[in-house]
Amino acid sequence: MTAPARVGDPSTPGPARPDRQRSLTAVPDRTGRTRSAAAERAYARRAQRTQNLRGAVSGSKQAAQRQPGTTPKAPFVVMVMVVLVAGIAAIMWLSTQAAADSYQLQDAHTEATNLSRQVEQLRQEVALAESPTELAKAAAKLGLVLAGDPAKLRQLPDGSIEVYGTPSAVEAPAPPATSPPAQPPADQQQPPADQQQQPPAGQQQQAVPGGQ
Amino acid sequence: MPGPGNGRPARRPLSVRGPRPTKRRGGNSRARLVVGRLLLVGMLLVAGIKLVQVQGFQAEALSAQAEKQRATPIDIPAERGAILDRNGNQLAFSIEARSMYAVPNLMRDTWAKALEAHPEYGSFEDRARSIAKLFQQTLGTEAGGYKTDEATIYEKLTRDTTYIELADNVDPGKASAIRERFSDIGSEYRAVRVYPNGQLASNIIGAANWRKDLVPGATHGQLGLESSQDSLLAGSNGRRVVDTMQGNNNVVIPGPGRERELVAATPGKSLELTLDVDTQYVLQNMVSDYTAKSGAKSGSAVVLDSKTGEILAMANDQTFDPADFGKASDDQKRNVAVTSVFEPGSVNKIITAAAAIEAGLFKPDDVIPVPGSIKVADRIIKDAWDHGEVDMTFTGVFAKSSNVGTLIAAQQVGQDKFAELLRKFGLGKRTQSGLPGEEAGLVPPRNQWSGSTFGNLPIGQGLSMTLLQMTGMYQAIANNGVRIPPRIIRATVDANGARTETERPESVQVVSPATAKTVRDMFRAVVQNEPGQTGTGKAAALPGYQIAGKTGTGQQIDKNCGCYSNTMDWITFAGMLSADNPRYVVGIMLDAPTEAKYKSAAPLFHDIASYLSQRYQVPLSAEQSPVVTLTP
Repeated sequence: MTAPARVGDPSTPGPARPDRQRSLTAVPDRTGRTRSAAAERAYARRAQRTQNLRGAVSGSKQAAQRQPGTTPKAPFVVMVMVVLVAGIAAIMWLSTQAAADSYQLQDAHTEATNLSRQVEQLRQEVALAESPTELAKAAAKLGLVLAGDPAKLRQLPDGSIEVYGTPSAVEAPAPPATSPPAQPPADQQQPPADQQQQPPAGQQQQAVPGGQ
Repeated sequence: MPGPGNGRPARRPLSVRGPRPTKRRGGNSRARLVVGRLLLVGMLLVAGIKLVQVQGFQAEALSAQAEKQRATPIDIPAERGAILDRNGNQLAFSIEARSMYAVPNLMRDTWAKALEAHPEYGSFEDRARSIAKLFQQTLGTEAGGYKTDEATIYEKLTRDTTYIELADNVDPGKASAIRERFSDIGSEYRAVRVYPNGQLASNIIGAANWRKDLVPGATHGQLGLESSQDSLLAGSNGRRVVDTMQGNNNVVIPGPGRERELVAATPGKSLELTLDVDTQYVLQNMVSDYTAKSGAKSGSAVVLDSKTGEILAMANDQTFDPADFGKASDDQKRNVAVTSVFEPGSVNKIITAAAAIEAGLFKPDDVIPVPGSIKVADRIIKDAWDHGEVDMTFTGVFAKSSNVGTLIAAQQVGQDKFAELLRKFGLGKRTQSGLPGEEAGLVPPRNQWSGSTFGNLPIGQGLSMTLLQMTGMYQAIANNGVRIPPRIIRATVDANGARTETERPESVQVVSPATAKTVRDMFRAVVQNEPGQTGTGKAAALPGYQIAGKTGTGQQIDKNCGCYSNTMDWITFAGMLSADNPRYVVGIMLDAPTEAKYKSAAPLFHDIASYLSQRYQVPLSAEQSPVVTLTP
């Protein structure tokens, strides 16, 4: 393309030039072929005339002074750059976030695994503690024994009570392995072994099952 | 507009210079364009063809190759289902654990290389010592049957071997604590089967253990329900693929999308049994104690829910520790209540009673003259006590357990009707309870009966049954004549908690409800304790409740003479709580008790019934059993 002739105000060209002379003086090149110098000048003069004429008519309304068929390129370029920069920034931010999240996820996974292990451990402990075998052991430690045959009571419609069966006392349990809670003062301390072997008479409680 | 082949502009200013080489240049560039275009199109075509080839035809092979290079499949172990009792208490469940191993030779080589670069690291022995120290600190001196004290671990690590197992059943947290410090110690997934109740009900539940020989390793049942229901409990392993570093399958490349689950693991289903673990515990203790006191070879007891046929408890005197079942003897592993058969003795008389009442041949208070003995074909059968001809009520025949009286009634019933009732009571056929190793028992087929057969069967000799079958007969009478085959599995529960009830087995109307009620009322007299009118099972009575039941003594075969032994008996009892509103049916069998004081199972029934009445808060019977005349 041939360079356009600079006519009129020869100020430096730039994207922010307010009068947009550059775009106006850019003569559309229809055919792509070369013009003679004279023809070139003629075109330039025509363009100058047109501009002068327009300037006289609509003075300050410069925004509207575009040659038909041309669009301002600067805002578009700026917009594209902004979009590009914003896009790149967004991508960088998102990928950083994704990476950070994946680490967070990994941590959360680890924690979940640990917690589920802990749950399993606790579940096992509960199941073990709940089992009748363990309960019986714990009860035996406290000196409890299984009740024998209970007597059963029945209230008749007239309010009187019938008793079925005779409650039978079960054998006294072996004295609890732990020493009695009421400890004598330190000066009267007895060897604990003796206490275990010969508990006070009051400790020898007979378990009498109640009626149901 | 320029015509074809005329690229020259229409108006061209004259020039003094020679003609510009526009045309040639123009022609040239066009040729170049054409050639360029052709080249581009050609390249595009080639690329396209390659694309189709790579993406279409070779896609599978290539992606498989790529996968092979970076992907390592890892099995996702399926969680084994638990075994629960009817109230959701856990009888068996699995927990995750780790087994720890080392590769001593490789460790030593790697260490030697590292030592060249960093001589300050210290010798391999020092390192082995510090590993051993951490093992003892973390695991104590024993883990899963492996000694983990410092000296043992040190010795193992310094051994000249490629692979050695260090510990088993290690808590995953502890395993990772060790691996965090010493990454060259390996750890592998294990599942440990936990039996919180120990020996309790182990002959029913069985045992499962980790099978190292399988690839991949998994927990599988070896005994009992764990074995027979293994496919249900085990579930199926899933498969996961991770991307790993080339040459090292243990270095997993982290990051999203790197891990793919090809098949999710399907956890095994949990089994909900009909057992009640508390009742089971008490029954177990009672049976073990009583069997030990009686000197019997074995003893077992079954408690059935009379309305549903569910097995609430089933105990044998011997059990084993499922966590260490390798040490258990065959006797301990056996579930005697279903795997061994015996001749029930007088307990079987209930069939004759039911048949005679159903046919309307006798009423409970009909008086029958009972002679001292009766001849059936070539055999003479007597009662357990010597007597001349005495009068007995029909109820008295059973309450006193008269063989002669029973055979008189049986002969009136007839062989065919009796055989039909044997079948309806489910004898000679497995109950399909869901317990493994169940025996069918033996009932001689009707067409093979000899003359004396009908002198044996009504009094419970010459046929055999399991304790479960025997208890099942009384369940039918307790449940208004409707026999519901007993069962042990109540429901299956999948991993999401969805519960599927097991299909109820088809019930059989054995006798009419009216007959069942009459028989129940008659058999109350067995536990009657009145002067001169005492039944054979008075020790089974439970004040406040109408107890109906029957004692039994089945003579065992003496192997020396091939005849019925006079000293060895199967002592049986079957009864229900209570006769007027049956809730529970209890069957007991003792194999050859020797102590004379314990030659009856009635006291054990009393203890069991007493416990059941408290455990399930069974309301007292509205009326007490009336006193009936046994021998007028």
